[in-house]
Amino acid sequence: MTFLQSGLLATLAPLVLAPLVIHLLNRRVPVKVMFPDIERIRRSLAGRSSVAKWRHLLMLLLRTLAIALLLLAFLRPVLPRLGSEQSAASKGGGRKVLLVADRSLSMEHRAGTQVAASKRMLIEAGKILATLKPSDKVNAITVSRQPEALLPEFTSSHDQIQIGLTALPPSQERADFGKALALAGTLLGTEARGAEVYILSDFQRSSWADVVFESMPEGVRLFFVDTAAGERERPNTAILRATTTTNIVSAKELVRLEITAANYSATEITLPLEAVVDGRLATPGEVKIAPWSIAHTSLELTAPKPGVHGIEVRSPDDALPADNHRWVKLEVREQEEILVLSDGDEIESGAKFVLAALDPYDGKGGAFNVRSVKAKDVTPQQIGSASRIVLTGVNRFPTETLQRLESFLLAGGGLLWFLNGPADGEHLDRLNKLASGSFVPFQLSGKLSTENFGGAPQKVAKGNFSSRFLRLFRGGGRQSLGLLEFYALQRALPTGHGSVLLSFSDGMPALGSAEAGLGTALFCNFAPSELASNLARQRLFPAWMKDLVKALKPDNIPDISAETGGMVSADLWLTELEKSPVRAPDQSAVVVRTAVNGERVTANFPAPVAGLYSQGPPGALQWAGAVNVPEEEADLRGIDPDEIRRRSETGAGKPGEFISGAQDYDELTTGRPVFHWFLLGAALLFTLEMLLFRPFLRAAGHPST
Amino acid sequence: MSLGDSFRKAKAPPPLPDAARKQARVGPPPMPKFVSNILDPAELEGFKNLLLFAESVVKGFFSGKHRSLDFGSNAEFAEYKAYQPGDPVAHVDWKIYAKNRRLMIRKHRDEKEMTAYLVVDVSGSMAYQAGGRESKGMRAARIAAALACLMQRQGDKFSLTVFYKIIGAHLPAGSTRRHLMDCLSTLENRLKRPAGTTEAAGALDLCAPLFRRRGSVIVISDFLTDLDKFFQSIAQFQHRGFDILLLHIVDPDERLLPNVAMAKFVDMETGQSVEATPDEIRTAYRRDNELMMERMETECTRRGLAWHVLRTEDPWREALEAWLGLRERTRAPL
Repeated sequence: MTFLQSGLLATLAPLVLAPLVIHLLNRRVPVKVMFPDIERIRRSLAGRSSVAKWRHLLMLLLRTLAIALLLLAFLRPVLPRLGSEQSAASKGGGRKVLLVADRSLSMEHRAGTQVAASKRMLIEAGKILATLKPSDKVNAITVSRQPEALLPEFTSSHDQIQIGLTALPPSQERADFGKALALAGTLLGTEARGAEVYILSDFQRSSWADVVFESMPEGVRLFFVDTAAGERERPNTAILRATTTTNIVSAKELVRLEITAANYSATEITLPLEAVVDGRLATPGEVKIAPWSIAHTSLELTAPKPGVHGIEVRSPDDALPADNHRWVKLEVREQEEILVLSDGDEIESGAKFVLAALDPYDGKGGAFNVRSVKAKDVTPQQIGSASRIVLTGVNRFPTETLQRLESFLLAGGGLLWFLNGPADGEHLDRLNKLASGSFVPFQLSGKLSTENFGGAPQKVAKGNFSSRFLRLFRGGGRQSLGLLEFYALQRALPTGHGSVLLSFSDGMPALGSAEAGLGTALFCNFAPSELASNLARQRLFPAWMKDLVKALKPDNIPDISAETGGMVSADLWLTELEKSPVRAPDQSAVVVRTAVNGERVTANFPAPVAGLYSQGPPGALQWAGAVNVPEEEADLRGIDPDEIRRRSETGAGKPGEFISGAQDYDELTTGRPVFHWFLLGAALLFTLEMLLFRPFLRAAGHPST
Repeated sequence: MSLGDSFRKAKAPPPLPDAARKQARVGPPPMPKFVSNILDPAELEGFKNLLLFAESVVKGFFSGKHRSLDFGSNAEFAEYKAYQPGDPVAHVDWKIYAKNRRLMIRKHRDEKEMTAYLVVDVSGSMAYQAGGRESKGMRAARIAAALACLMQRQGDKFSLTVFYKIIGAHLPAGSTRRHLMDCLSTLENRLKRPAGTTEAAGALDLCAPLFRRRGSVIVISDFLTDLDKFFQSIAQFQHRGFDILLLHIVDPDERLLPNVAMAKFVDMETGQSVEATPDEIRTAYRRDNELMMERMETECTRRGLAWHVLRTEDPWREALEAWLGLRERTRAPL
């Protein structure tokens, strides 16, 4: 125990003698009373208890002790508190204080008190700053995706830090405390012993899971200020992910939004969802989520008119509204021209089923503009205008047609070929020769039927499910392949080129793909005809057909949205950028850094807020980029404080301490004041004196008193 | 100025006119109205009515206003009684005999006087005075004076004895106004110099030969004495047929101790001293005092003594009431 006002000791010490002086004065000046009979007084004196006999000395002792305790209370006694004896202030020097302020999205969570943790952080920071003296120096680090120091060096202008922290806008970023602690170590430098580092955070588990304190200089006093008000489990719901299967779709195409939602609470919930395209509600839905788990669901919507669009997937706002919204960029193109070539009867060739799968609305909707043409009548213009060609049950092609197909393929076209035509074996050989003999994945050598398999249909037994063509059969969807039965097919042998994606049970290739030039060809050793397989009867057939056709274009990859706090890069036309700047979700202009490359320009800019960043006039966007909050910020569960303490020991030499928001930060500097214990002790002594003597005196008191 | 002095220096009455002087009775001049510090006539007037209604019967040998159980011949008629041989023939009512030939004797009540012996303590402890109250000695003197005056008015004889360790002064029984003046003078003289220790037993022993005629012994004291010896001494008077009245003068401080923080108590009789904090010993002291009072009460009850506590903070009228109570108690049945 130390005394902050020990200099007063010499002044106040004589007061301890006051009870003794009063005692002596009382003893020396008795009142002379002439009394009729002192015998009874003598008898009464002789009959006193031992306590009464020693009463004066006991009273003197108690009063002296009480006065001494009162005087000691005036000397401001303190007990060491969390290393306060190491504080520079306790040694008469100036303090060095570093505030590490969490500015992650989770700090914006408003708990039951409706006060965000970030607001509490500001309050606590203010309390800490209020304890500083002019000679003390302070700095602050704001911890977000990229931690930054408010000032390059420690300053005595405490208001500057307060103003800097207050002016910070709400953050939607993640917090990288690893970098922040490294920055703190750099700022503290070599004179870090005795410095105080206050980490103000909600200590969210996801942010602190892998944080180590090795960069903390030894001798630093670490304090953790929990701004989550001790709520280790803050319930929250969030939309973690929302993606389309492809970011480029055709107009009127049915777009499937794959949504992952989370329920970070102890009760099961049914979370309403809705997808909004260009500000208009497109599709509502809901998903049931078990406690502390995530769930997947999907919403389907029809692609709007061609252009760049933003889809907002949202759920009702809760205590942390930012993670209840998710944006997806959607690029819609004109309907793609699909050319279906076949010969003979449409049912026998399977063309009817292919047409029905690719164009279910008979030209009135869907992603594709499908045209069915007899293979023998196809013109070069028809081939040139199509982006993908489906062949099923075609007869022998003229060489020119085959050459045009090869050119189409080399130029980036997509070819889906059901090998159920009478001359398909020859077609493959000729195509292979045209491609210098290293193209087709397998060779055909005659037709096979169920008789060749003992009367039983062939089944698919093996597949390369990492292929984009078999995306529908990943996971549980693989069982759908087991339902497929094939009655008529070609005897096929792998050539070693391309890749065999599916194989029958006897090892014969069923589906293979090959790349030629910029195009992709997909060869199916089966047919959609009812005589050849039960493929057309399967529920997945239309979807698979569409997926196969779409997958023929390799650039159709899902959009990966940027994360708040990160940099967004946009490849724009220079002239368009000059006309219309890049705009933030609130339609304010964004300052971008550009790198001009001819007519094109690469614009880079930070995206601190979630939403759709865009360039171009509204309704006719030239470019759009979705920026979303980091999904790990949605899990608001806190980390075990003991774990943080244990880790902090490795760097600073001794573990940091969690201090509550209501903590008197003065105690951390000077120690815990215990003057009230001294006052209480004095009061107890006075009470003891009263208890020992007052009842006795009151009982014997003169009636006049 | 003592009571005697005031009497002697009393202003002479105005000279009578010659005619009146001739008719004036020859003899000593009338007694002037007395002026005393210890007795206020106005206060005494309050007891006048009490006197008028005090029809007491007193055992005694001298006639007075008090009815006696003895039947005489020259007093108030009481009853008729059939003559019995041996009865005085002079008491026979011959008129009745003349009417109905029966011998009847007239019986009369005979009035006799009472002698009261006032025994007043004038020891040093009786000088205690505190809190604006009158001293115990003054209270005792006033009570004695009032009783004497009362007795003188109703024609009783009264004696005054003041004592401390020994008898300080003694006035034999008398019932004249001059005797009353002498008593008052004696009391005032002794009040000026209270001293000595209280030894009531020895003083009473000395009084025994002085109190020859049976009557009432009224002891006015604080009884700060050896009580065993005192009750032994007083018993001799009981054996001789005296009625005993003990008037116990008590100051509040004697019951509760003075209200001072720290005191050096000096004994008023012995001069010895002791230092004490009254608050510390008050409880024990009060308990001791209560024991003493209980003992007084027990002893007096057991011995048939009348005992009254007279507190200096209370009106001294209680003393007269106590005296009248004694008179009532000693009244004989008809």
